Amino acid sequence: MSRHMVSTTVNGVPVEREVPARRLLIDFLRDDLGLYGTKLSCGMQVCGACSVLVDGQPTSSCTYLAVDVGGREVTTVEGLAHGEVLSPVQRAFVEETALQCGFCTPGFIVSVTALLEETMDPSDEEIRDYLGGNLCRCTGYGQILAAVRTAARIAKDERADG
Amino acid sequence: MTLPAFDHDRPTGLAEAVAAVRAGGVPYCGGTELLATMQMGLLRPERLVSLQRVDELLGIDVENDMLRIGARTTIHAMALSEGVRASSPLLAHVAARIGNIRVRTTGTVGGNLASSGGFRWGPPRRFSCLTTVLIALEAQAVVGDGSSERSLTVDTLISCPYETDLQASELLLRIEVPVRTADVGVYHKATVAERPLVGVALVHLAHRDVWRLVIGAVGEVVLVAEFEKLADIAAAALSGEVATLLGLSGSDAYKRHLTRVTIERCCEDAQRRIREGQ
Repeated sequence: MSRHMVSTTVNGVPVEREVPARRLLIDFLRDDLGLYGTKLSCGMQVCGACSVLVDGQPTSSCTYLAVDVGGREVTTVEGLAHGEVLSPVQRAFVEETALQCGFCTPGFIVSVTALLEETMDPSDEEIRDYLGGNLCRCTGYGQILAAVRTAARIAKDERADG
Repeated sequence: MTLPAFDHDRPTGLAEAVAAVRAGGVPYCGGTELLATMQMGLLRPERLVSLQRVDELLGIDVENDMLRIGARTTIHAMALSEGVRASSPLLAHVAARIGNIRVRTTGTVGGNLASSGGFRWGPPRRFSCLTTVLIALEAQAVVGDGSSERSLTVDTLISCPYETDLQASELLLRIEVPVRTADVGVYHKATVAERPLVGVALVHLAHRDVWRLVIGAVGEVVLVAEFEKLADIAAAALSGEVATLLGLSGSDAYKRHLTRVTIERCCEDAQRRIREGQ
């Protein structure tokens, strides 16, 4: 079994580690780098709990090889805040109480971050389509939808403020 | 979560990738199908060949009324591409509704087709949404080994659920879709766990003035039929012709019923688009 040196950037920090070819990205992030915000749930890229951004694109880290992030940028939920200042999406989830157990929340926050990068003011239909692969067993999704609308408003206000 | 052990190549060009595949490596790009299959223990390749740095497989362009999409193009890129939306709106529409956003940003056109007929070293899967629509649009798959290439229809590429027509050293390079903006096309599906249980594509090919209907996913082989008029499409009779795949997702009768309903939805949608001049 081959081992490979992976040179990547995780949350803005250059990282270099030797890993076996079979190491999954989620295991690399959690076990090798100590970033436990990304959660393992279904292990089949269906639930979205393991969502991270690879070069800005939402990715199921449970079904992605660590060797494949070589030369690329990975963003986890830990990388969204600026120091102590939560991102607009994180603030919106707090404001709307869009979580209960919190297990799915990092995945939702990462996915919503990507959604708002792609579409600044998504319609409810666009939100539902984009987040159809993120599952929550607690909230019934109402507060999550509200959080997305609030996040879009916060981000828009911050852009207007310059 | 632990995958079985394997060796891994990351070629940076087509010739290098073909050499690695010829030596027995299993090619992949996004890995959305391959890695999931490996995690279930259904496939244990000894060597994987990543195509993520093979730039010859990239690109979307339109030339001589032909939309060309590189095999490495992600499903999401296809859905967002202005070129695809303008040249083949049905293809862009279907691509935007495959799986979930993470599958679409990672999965590629090539991987979707090449795994649709089953990995050469592993179990088959059903005809995907993309495969069904590309067959309806009379798309071609271009395969090659870097020194030569050949073109074949998508339903020839995926000759049956257990095989593709790819030779041992060939890779899928790109798909080519005729640009026919006058065509009316619709696609409807029924899904289970984000995968199509039945997918039906219905396209009016204006240059031949026929309605081309393709039924995918539900059967062992894709069913292709052409009709002069929309009214000639008998959903009940067609659903009776399908040889449904056995599985846990429903009985034969249930799948035939879903097939009939999906065909009817396609016909109603097509009629509405004609009325509305779409």
